[in-house]
Amino acid sequence: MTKSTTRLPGPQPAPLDALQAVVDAGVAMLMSGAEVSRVEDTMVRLAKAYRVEPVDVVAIPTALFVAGPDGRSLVKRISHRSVNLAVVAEINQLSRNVAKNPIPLDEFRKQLEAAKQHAVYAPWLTIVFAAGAAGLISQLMGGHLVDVVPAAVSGGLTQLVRRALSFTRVPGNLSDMLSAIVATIPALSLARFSVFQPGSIMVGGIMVLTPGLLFTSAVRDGITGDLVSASSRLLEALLVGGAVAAGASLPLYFYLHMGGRWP
Amino acid sequence: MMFQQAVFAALSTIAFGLLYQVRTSLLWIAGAIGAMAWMVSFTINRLPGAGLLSNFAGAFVIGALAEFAALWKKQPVTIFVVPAIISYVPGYVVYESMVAFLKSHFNQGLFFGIKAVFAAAALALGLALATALLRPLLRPHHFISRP
Repeated sequence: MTKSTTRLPGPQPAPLDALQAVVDAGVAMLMSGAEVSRVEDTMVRLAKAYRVEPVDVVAIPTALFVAGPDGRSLVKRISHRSVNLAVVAEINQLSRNVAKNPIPLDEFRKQLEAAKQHAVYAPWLTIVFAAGAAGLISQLMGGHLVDVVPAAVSGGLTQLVRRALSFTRVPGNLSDMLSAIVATIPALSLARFSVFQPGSIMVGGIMVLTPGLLFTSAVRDGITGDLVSASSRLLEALLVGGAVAAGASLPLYFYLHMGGRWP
Repeated sequence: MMFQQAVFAALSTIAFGLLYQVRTSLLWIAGAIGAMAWMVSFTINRLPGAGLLSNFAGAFVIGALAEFAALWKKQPVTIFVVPAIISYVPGYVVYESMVAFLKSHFNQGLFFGIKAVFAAAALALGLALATALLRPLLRPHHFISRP
């Protein structure tokens, strides 16, 4: 595709520029784990606000296709996906604001960049949150009060490893597996004392890795009729779950075969 | 016991919300949804022969309350659903299945594995039903103006 060099006179931006910005917003939402129908709605709303009409959008978790006016279309590959509900909420809000009172395209680009980087809490804090989440959820998984601290250590370690691996080129499923291996360390080292419930400690730590957003999005995509997206998200959730289970059972397998105590 | 568990459900919902970068001003709503859903499913769990009904009811309550909260706060529904649903993920059953397989108790492993699959299906059904029933009622314009 050739980029148009002639700009339309007047305050309206060239359609391709606007289309490109709209696509950027859609890509950012898909990468943060938004439902497909929400991505499509947001993009159509934005395109209408910038008078890029008619526009047709097809989004699936791994790709984005946009057919703009005068037969121009854009295709984007989504290669990296993560969970960041703040980005989804932020771009959703931005699109509503723009639809209500339009801002210049440059201003929109700036705000979009800010929304993409949006993180409510600092990265190191997520390790603390993961520790807290793991400690608390171990109580719902049949743990006693003594299990809170080991489960919290387990959850913190898991999140630490996952965050560290997210900066490398290790594939997502392998990083989940490695994080799950690390998550078992506190449970395995405390299993010989009968006060602790190693099962609850281990599950608490592993729950940090649960693909909760994938599962929820899969269900919601299924309701709206986005079948490709629903089935691929379900598959991804199963793959993540399988990777976590495999990672957790590996150290436990060796532990049991060395005759370790496990209730 | 019920209230203690509900408090833990609320706190873990809040903790997972923090982990998923949900804004602080919305967290208490997610926590309240988590606690209410946990109380409902705890009560149902006491009924004889309830089985997976408690999972279904919990997910339904989460889905329904999240639809209301999303409309009220003009935020995506997922912000309220995802942190609250985590406490229902059948993690412990999957773990039991895993340990049974590792100990070569294959029958038991399969039993727990199938139980986990059905528990997840009950969750999906609860969420789906809540959204499918409440969306057209709460946002009628979406369903009338669409060509």
